[in-house]
Amino acid sequence: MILLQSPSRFLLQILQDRLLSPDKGVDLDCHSVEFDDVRYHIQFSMRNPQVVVLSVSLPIPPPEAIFFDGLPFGAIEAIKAAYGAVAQILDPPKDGYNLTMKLNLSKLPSDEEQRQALLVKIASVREVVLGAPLRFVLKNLATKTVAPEMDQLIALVHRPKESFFLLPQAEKVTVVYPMRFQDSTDIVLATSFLQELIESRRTAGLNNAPSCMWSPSPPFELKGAPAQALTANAGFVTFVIFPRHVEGKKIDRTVWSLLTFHAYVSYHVKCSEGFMHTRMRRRVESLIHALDRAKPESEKSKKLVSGKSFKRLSLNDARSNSNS
Amino acid sequence: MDAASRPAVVIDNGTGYTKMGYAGNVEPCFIIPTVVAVNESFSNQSRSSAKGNWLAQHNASVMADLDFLIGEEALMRSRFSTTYNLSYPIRNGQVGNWDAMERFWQQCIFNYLRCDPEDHYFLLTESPLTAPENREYTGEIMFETFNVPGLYIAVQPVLALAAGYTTSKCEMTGVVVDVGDGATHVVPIADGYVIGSSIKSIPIAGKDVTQFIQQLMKERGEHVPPEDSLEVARKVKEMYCYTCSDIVKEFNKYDRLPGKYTKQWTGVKPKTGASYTCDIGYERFLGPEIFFHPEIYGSDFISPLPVVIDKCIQSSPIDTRRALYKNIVLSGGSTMFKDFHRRLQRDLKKIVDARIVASAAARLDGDVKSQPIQVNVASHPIQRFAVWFGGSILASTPEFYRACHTKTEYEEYGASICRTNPVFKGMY
Repeated sequence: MILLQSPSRFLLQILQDRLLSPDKGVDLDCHSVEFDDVRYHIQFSMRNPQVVVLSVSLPIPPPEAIFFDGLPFGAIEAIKAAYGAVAQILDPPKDGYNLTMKLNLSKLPSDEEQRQALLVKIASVREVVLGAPLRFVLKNLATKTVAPEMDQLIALVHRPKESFFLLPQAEKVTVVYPMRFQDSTDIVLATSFLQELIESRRTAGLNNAPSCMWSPSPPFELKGAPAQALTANAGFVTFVIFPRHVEGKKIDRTVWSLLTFHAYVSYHVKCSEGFMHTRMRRRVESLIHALDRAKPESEKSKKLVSGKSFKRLSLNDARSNSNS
Repeated sequence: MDAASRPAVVIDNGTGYTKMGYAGNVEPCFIIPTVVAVNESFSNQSRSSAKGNWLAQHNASVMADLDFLIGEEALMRSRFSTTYNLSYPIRNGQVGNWDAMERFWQQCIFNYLRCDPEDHYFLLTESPLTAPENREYTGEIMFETFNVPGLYIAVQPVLALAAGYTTSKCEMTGVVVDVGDGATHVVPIADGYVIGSSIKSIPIAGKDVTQFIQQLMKERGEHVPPEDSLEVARKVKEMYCYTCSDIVKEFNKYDRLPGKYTKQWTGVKPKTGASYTCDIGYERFLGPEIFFHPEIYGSDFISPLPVVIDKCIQSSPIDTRRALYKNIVLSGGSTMFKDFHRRLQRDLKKIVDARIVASAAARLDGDVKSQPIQVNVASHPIQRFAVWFGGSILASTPEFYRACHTKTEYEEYGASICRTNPVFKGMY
């Protein structure tokens, strides 16, 4: 797995199970937490087997990011557009959550493929809600316009109390991520990972990819940003998105990739740590083999020929040691 | 926000299946086979040219470390492709392959649970006979690779006993009969402490039931394609097997009314796509029977499970024995056979009653009567993931966060903090 997938496996599995065995006689009350503190709470009750109540809580927004009624800009419209009649938004949402939806399973399309597509869409509720403002900006980019209320620096929340920044212009959108990590090892790995990313962008095959830059100090696009947003211990990454990156179907993947860029980097940092562990373990093993080979012949042959148990051998050793 | 305010992640790695989810839930989010399919073509290639081109090796292995699958996806992929090799990281309840295990955890966390490991406390489980070094290894991987803020490595039987915590009153004394896919342990626990010296372990587990069924079907000449036969045997075990009360009667029943008791299995050959059917007969009750009559399976080990449980209780401290007989808890997927607990209780009761009669006869003066011993084998509907459920309960209490080994402790003292587990400290 190189990229993180957009639909949540957990939600998708529960919804599919529910549809396969609709009369499974149990109530269900499950909660789950995803990366960047997105929480889900899903409920079924036997009294009303066709209705699923799904609550989503989003990361706490930093002061510079704008939320309307606990949801990002355009989220309500995005939900309505994505789910249509299946979902009904409950107002106010459940305590502690930003959004509560009532999903009516009887209104799912009867066609197998369409239904599956809609279930996947429901499972990607995170992309729909958190990605709504980003999608709005990128859609404007596709038509090369700038919405009047969105022409200066915009802050979008992506992690608890952290945001990334968009600078929309008519022919391009600049996206800037301040990268922060907790662990000192992670900072080092992430920094080199990002520098490597910039390097590999320069290879010939990737000419059409969005151009990206990395700098340890805030880039000039962030001039208007609040001071606490300008401290990042792993530098700043800038992507420039052109209209060709958001044509047609591409917009979905672009939105998701931009939204989860930080999670992507941290996933790969963890993977490379794991990979290094594997290599280290292999190395230790080969060194132990080398040490074994270097043992004097007499010691080795004693072990092989006598064929005694380990205990006996160590007793003999102890005796010979005390004698000497 | 603090990691302690989020639910802890509970992962129970069994030999056959891994159960994972968040503390506080009733059911695990995912139950997947503990298996990793690794693409070996890259690493072999790089090894052969190890001395030569460093860059080529580097490029080949850069992606190879992410080119693997776990769980059902791994099984699917390995059936249709030859480039992936299956590896089972856990053997007989012990982690055998740490590379595979680390990869498995990586996918569990990032692909299945999709959480950031820095945000959650973790509760992992281990079998009661795990070596301290393995516990250190686990701690090292969790703290170094995944940067978890806190870790608790719980002992599986204790969790299984804790799973009954809500149903009855707080009863932390009992014998846990944990029959998993790769290991069977009988573990006596008194007041939450494991009586380490009385743990009995028998070499018959779920995997052996599967193999026995496979062998029976092969000997009878059912037309199952060889590459599929283990998988079919596993499905037969999970879907059709049950425990009978008397083999002879059961054989007679089958012979009289074969149509009523034999089942049909229909499958598709993976290579040609043609479908086949086979009959399932005696193996329905003979499979689970190997726990009660191990001699029908092999001559290496011939003590039946009830005898082993009895021995285990008899070797425990004398003041705990009555309480242990009273609370025998089943856990693990291979105790899910229908009527398994009834059969176990009946056989155990027989042994205990015989002993009481014998001791009464041996006593010369007949006026001292011993009280009858209550034998009780408990079974819950959640037996299959009782260990996980116990972990979920334990990890949702506020005390859990204080019992954890934390990242700061790890950085101060190193992996040795995971070496000992307090539940073994009570008695020796």
